Amino acid sequence: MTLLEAAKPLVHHRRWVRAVAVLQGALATLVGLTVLGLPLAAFLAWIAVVWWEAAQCLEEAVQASTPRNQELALRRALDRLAFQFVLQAILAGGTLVLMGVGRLWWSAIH
Amino acid sequence: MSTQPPPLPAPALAPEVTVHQVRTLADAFARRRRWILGFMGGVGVLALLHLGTQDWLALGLDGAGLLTFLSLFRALNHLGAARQSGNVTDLNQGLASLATYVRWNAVLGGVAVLVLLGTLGVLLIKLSQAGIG
Repeated sequence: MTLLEAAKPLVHHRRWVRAVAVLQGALATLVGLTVLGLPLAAFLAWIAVVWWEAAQCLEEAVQASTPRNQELALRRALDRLAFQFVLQAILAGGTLVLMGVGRLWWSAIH
Repeated sequence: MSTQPPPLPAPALAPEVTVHQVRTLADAFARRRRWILGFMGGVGVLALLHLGTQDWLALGLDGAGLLTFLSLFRALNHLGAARQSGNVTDLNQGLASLATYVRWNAVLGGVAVLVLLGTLGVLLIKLSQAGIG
């Protein structure tokens, strides 16, 4: 099995990866427009950029002229995809902390 | 006598994937396993907190999001095994599960954007009505 064959399931889904990037960007824009504020929107936009980079790398892997370039592009794509989970984990953790602080503050003033 | 064009060079055969390549590719996910598990746990806790709000739309999205974690968890296990063994089948299955997660993530992302757009639309209509009144 060649490298591209091994990575075929993900490479075939590169348009879905791009779709997630676009939707994440749309979500960031909508959040930015509402009261939820710019810091959250900026963080969501960062996640969208990382998804976009992953999609780009998958595209590069398909168009790579040498197996070495293919390998490097695939490695970068997987690295970007794994990194966006780090950002999502920070987002989920931050949301939980903010919710906890909010509850404490609410119970303190009432 | 017609001159024949020189034959095109045969495309170079792509080499078989090596154990080292499999390990290197699976490494990014295996290395961030704790972050990914933390992300899943965090979303799980947020979903539990939503349970008390009776917001059925948010609960539905949470439930669907948690279901996609089955694919992500499977991907994580296969990629972890691929890093350990260097087995290309593990890498292939891990990436297939990851692709399934990505597909469902796109669908849910689309729904979330539509819900947010709808909420904003309703809010704008109410605001304009209040302004007219």
